[in-house]
Amino acid sequence: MKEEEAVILSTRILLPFTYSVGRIASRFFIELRDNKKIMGVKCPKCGRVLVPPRRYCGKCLSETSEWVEVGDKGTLVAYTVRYSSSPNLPKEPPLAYGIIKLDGADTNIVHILGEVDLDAIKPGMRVQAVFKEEREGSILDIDHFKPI
Amino acid sequence: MKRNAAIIATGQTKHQSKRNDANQAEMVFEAARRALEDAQLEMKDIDAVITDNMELFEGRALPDMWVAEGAGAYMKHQLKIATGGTSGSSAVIAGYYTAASGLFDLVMVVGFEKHSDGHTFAGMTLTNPFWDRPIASAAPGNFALSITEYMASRGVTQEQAAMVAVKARKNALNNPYAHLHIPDITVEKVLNSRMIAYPIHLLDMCPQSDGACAIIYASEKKAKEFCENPAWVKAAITRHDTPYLGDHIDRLATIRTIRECSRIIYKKLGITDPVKQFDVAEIYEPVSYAELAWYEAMGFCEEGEAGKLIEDGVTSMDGELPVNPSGGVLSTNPVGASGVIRAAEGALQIHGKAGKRQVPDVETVLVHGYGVYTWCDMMVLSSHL
Amino acid sequence: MSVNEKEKEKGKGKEEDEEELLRVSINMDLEYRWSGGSYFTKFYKAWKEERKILGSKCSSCGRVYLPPRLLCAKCYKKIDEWAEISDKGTVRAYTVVYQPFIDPRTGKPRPVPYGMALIQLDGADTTINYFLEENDLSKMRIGMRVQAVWRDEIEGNITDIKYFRIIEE
Repeated sequence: MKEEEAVILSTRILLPFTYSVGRIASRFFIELRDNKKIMGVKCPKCGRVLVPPRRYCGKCLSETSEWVEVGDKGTLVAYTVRYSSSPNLPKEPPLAYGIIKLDGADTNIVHILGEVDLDAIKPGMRVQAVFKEEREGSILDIDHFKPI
Repeated sequence: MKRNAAIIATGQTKHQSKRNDANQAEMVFEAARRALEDAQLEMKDIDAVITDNMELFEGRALPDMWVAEGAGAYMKHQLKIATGGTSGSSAVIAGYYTAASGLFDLVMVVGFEKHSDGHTFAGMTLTNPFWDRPIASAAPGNFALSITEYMASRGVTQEQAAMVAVKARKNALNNPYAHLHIPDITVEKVLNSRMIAYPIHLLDMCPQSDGACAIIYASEKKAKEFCENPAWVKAAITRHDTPYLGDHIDRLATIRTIRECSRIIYKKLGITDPVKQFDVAEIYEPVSYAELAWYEAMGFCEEGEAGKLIEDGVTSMDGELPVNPSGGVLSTNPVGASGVIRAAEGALQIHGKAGKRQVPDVETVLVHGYGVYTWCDMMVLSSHL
Repeated sequence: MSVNEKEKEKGKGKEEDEEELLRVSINMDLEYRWSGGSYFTKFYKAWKEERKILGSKCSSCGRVYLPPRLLCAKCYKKIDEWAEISDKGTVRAYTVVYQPFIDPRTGKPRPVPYGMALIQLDGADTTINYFLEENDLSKMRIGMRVQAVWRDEIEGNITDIKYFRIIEE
């Protein structure tokens, strides 16, 4: 069969899914939504503060229980800028986002960087969360992190 | 050189239709933790982890990555198994090979499914884009077709199938982990429940459950250290067949994979009368009629006698060969966990830890897994080497 | 992605206020490109250009497979013969579906009830699963003969056959 004769079908899958985030993550998102607070949990064995919070510490498989508020400020660990577009992006490119270590947390989160000159972003920068006015219990209740 | 391995511990979640309080990895964590507690082991003692899941159902890629932490696989050897409905039983067999290889001493196997997160029926329809998708009507759809064929060729009746459904749910009442607890289940109730696809009534069909199940294997040299009555693996086998439903004429009656697996395992272990020589069987029956077909395929009775076997009570709790004391897949079906549950429930019988569903004096257990169309896994567990 | 579903769940057996447990809805809308392969391509051309149904025939055991495929699994041999298959056949199994399962092409439930069957088309050794025109169980039986009813326009889809109609033969 010649390459150009080959039949290629275009198919589409359209399916609705609904995920339970679980009791622990529910509290995390509710605190974002209702109180503009970012929460983590502390592992009773190794003492690490995990953000996003989860029910167990992966390293020791201990069940976590102590809730800790981590600040809305942190340090930028790494970043990149996205220029190309694709479906489902939270904002239109050029889109800067980075890995952020919030003060008090031992794990990092990924989030959008805003109100910032794309050429002036540097790892080590101090950043602060900017919350949306209308929040629904999603990681995007934080609109972006801005430099401080 | 083959080494021996045994299941020394089990753990599972209370299976139910919606675990809104936990996400997928947290459910896996519960099952893994309970298995560790059963053997009084710590996560650091485990050498290897096998996880399994039918990811189409949750629409989430890389389930092995997402549940790795919860399964205790952080910085450990971990492999994922995905073989449709047999994912759990294939993972069980993969775990056995891993422990019997001589390379790992303590192996954790965890399977899970969170049907409430996904679209089970839709997940089942994601097969061939030209031939299957416009028509695919999920598990009940394809079973219904094979069942009308089976009824015509073997003469089983809706009443006999309903008796299987009643036996399963009555057994489930003794199992605190089972999803469906229907104390007033009767043949009438099954036959009066609404029709999903002729002739399958709602109560003929398995539920969709959220749940996870874990087992721990130990190699021969470690098994007795952590378990008084290890469940030794005497034989394990898997067989798959061709991919299209239409390739199998009278699929339930002919089911080549189960027949071949049975033939080989029975020959290897000298089983000539499975009803007498097995003390318990935990088999995978997504729909009541399937259990009847499996009786014939596994040689529990002559061809065409499956209806009589259930009517005579041979496979009930006080019969000669109790089939699915746990309540089976008909009572609990988190697909990725269901195959692991069969092995866990079989092992519990040998460990003597099966509580109200314990069958007395169990030495030999047949464990079976089944998946889409015609996949088959089988394993035999024994109280002695 | 949006958080547009919040389900309140009573804490089991506790007297506290209802606990809010969040769920997140995602509509997965994905496009895929599927290479049919050389056997499907030949089948597809005959289907689209001539309304012909072709099956692949193993020269070793003689089995005619529909869908056509590269290998005869039993003989593990490459198939190089083709056979023309009729659009008429015999019903080997049937059912009527009452549950509105989701059609993955649209994300919406299919209208019910509908009849469907495993049909062995004349010339094939395998069956295909497809819709029946009829949805009345009392009119169905194993062994009945059926005939494909085609649409006027052929698009290159199995749905170019609307359904199979029961015929007297």
